[in-house]
Amino acid sequence: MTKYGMVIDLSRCVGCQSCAVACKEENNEPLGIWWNRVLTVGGGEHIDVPEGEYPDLSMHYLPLACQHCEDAPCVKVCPVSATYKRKEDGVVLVDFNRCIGCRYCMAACPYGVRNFNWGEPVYAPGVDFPVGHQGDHYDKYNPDRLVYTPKRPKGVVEKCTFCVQRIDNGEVPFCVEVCPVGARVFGDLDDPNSEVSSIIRNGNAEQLLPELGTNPQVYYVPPYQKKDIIPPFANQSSVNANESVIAPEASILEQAEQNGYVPGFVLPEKKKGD
Amino acid sequence: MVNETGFLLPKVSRRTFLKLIGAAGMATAVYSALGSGTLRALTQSSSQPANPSVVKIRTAHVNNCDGSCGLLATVYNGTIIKFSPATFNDPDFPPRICLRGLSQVTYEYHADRLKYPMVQVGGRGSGKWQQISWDDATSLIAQKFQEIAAKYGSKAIYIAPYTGNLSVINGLIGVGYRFASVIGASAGDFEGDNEGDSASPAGAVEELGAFDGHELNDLLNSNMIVLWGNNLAETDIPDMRFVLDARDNGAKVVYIDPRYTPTAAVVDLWVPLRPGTDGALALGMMNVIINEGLYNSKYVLNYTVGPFLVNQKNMLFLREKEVVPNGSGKYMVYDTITGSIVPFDTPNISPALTGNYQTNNGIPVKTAFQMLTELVNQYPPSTVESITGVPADTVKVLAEEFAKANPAAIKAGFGGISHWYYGDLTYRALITLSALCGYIGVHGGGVTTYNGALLDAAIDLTDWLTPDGKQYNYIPPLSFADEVFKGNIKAAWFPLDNFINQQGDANKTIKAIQQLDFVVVSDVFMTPTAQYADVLLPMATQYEKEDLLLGGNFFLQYVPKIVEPLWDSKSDLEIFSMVAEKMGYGSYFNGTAEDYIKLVLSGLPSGTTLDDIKANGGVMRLKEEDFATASYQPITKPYVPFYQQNFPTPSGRIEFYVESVVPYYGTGLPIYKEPYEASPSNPLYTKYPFVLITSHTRFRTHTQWDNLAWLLEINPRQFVEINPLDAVKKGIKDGDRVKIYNDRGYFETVARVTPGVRPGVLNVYQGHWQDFPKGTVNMVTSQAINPAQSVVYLFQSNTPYFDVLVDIEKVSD
Repeated sequence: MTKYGMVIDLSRCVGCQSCAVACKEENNEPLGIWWNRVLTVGGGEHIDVPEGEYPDLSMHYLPLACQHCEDAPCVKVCPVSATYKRKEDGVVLVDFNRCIGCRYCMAACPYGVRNFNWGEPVYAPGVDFPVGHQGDHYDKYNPDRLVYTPKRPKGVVEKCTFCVQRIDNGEVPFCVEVCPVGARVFGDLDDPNSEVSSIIRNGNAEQLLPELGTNPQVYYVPPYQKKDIIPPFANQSSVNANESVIAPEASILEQAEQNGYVPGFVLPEKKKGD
Repeated sequence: MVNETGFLLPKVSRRTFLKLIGAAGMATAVYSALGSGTLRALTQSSSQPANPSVVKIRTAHVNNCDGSCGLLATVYNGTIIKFSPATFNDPDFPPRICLRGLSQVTYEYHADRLKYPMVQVGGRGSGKWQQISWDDATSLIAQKFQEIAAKYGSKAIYIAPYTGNLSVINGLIGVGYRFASVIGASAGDFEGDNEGDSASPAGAVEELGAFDGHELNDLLNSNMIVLWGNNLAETDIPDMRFVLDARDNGAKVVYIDPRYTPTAAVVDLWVPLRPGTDGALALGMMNVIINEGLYNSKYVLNYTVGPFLVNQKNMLFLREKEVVPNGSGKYMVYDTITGSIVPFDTPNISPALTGNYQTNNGIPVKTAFQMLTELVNQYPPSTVESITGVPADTVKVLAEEFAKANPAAIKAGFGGISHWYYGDLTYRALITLSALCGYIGVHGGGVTTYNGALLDAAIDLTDWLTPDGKQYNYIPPLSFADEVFKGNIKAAWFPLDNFINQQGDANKTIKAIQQLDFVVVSDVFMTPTAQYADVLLPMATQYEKEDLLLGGNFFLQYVPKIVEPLWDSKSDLEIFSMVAEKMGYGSYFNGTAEDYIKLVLSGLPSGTTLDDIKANGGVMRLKEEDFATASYQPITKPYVPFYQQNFPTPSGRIEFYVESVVPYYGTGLPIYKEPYEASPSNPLYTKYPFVLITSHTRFRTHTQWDNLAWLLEINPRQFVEINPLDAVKKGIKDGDRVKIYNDRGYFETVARVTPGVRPGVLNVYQGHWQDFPKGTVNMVTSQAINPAQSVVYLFQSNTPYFDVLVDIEKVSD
């Protein structure tokens, strides 16, 4: 059996949001809907704001999309089996033909990664055609399940599908392809030789909210552990960051003048081609 | 078929089911909760033409970004529906893209694109436009240009540099210059004078002989990487990959910046400092390295001007003819074996690296290295701490680590280092630091700001930009306003250059533009610059015109015409050709884009042709013989400039002592000077106690992409970063509307209270134009030109964007 999983390396993620935009493009997400969000784990409501007091600061980023849980709460609560987990590879999907928009799945999901189409989808101004994957895609193992359609209607829930329309054709999810710093790996968790398996086996990856028992198939390598370059005692300044002192640059000229140099600062005649 | 929960799955799809109910007239009653829109959408969504045409076409991102990514455009039935990263066919250079390349569909098809030529009938800035035909527009431009040329001379017409597009035909080294040359107009030069990107290059030319950079995957060879004033994780995201790979291989990564940015989050050490004091930090590191004997003395002796004697009376290198009648101009050294002052190339000598001496005819001299030592001795770590705020022990450890890394690389930012009045001195200090340790011209070392084919390709632009010896008159963009005020410029054309928004001192720029007789703008959107046009022309995007990119990496990338220009837009080549034709210069514009690309490539020593590039998938790495530096150094992969220590300086060595700037600084050493304006030593500081810096955001490339919907969703508005301590002092809360001002002007924005910015410093990301004029940061920046830069012909003026003092206050609603 295959069990698709993803490892996201938080020690490399720089919060560039490229994976969020990639997902938006590949899956023609309307304005207001993001299947993949890159959160800032720092000090405030805004992105890119660190925690602490200058200069003792810290921050890291957390890309967050469907965790494709082994024990997915969303699957359990869906009253019409629109949301389901396909056994062939463990990907959790929404069948747009069946979704009635009750949003029980959104209440059940502890990660908050599902989106609801409250209204008619609206897209970027001027882009009046679907972007990304063109046409419908049916689950290759359950061909009457419509698991991707470019224009989802008002009233259905949508979320990350591990780019089912791509993985069913042997490609990786688009976010994995585009990450500019190589922070994402995708592969088969059931294959001991896969890169995702070896990272997890090395004990270097964690799941989100493991105490809930959802057992996500998305793992995270923890944020970067800095090398010690400066001993801690050495990195404290007695100078208030807001104050400073003018540099002693004048003494160079004083010294030169002592040797007879006259600082004329005369501009030389500019010759053509100088 | 029964699923796991026991519900019977319908044999027919829900959509079909709904159609059936609809036919029976029950749709509204049953599905009213969801709205009838649902029904309509479901029945329409799956329609798809049979046999759609799908092609994937490789292009490159020509915008003014160091990434120069290869983009793969997917064209579905004639519409570009997706951009993804394209291969470079090189195992050492992975495909690359970022959020901006991924948003290009929303740019290409943007509803706000300019659609047809217009004249502004209500006067500049009125917003009253009237559509005219291309024929009328180009005739009007030709007529006006001819009138102005007849009355004032053709040099009174100014063609501004393209800063929106780095390409060969419709961009930075493109048709605008050819047009200017042919009609005898003036033009800004093409190395980024608009943008404060000239100070570092000037310093590099002075000290090393050329502005060049290491290929960035060379960072994998470094044991230590110093990102100096370079928020690489935000400003050049794909190249950050190499830093992270090096980091995970054991390299120590240090990042020097007044702000805590995404880069700070993933490095080993973030070193905060007072903005503009980087030169002092470098001198402090040199202090430790010299005093602890950690410098590479053999390297300094043989490859730098270290042993050359400097005449202390005129602060220039001592020449043989000053001590020997009928002597040559040779540099002189003190030979420790004979105890005499001799020419540097005398055989069998042992030149002193340090010392004060006197010539036989009484001239006091010191070795350049002696002078450098005396300079850095004024910057012990404790002094550096009081100037920069970097703890003394950190300065010491940093210096020791840097010297011992063997090698360490410095990756410097244009923003942090060059956007300052004295950026030339700062960059020279960084180069000197690297040279002391013997890291110049070696893998894993060097000081790099920019790299790539744009700097290094051995193409000859003479026939393209200056055909038949016709040469445009060079006016640096920073001199534009003054030249207008002097009456030397009467008309201007801004092609894809958001000049008003991006040049320093926006009020001065606008004042100058208002004095012009005639203004032409060609652009994709109604930018602030477009708002001041008399004639506004819709420009085709890069996806609609054939071109070639030589950018921030060593690949020649073909830029095909993927789709026809939308609306009534035209390519720059076509636009300039039409006007030139009407002015009687059509013979110089008979070629197609392909013809001119071939013309530019024809000078390549390897003989690589456009067809070769196309046959290779539209991308081809620059061949070794096609590097301009191949004439004096071996070309390695990754590329390393000055490999084998050949420096095209007057002395042939690294000149940490530069004679040409002595008239400006009183010395040739890379001294530290307090920022020109943004210093507590400036009396203005009591009135304007905040330093305003204007960094680069990942949500734009300068002004481009400011209006793309997906990016605006994540980054909806411009804001100013203000430290909580300052916010409290000023009674400002997060989200408050604020005004930032000085004597040059003001702008308004929204406060973002964050501990990531240094107290006493404000940061506003540059490039936002949609709130012009009230939201334009350059209302407060300056056009101060450092005359010392005039010694470097190509890099004479530099906008000191960061060298700004302001105050901030809350604006009541």
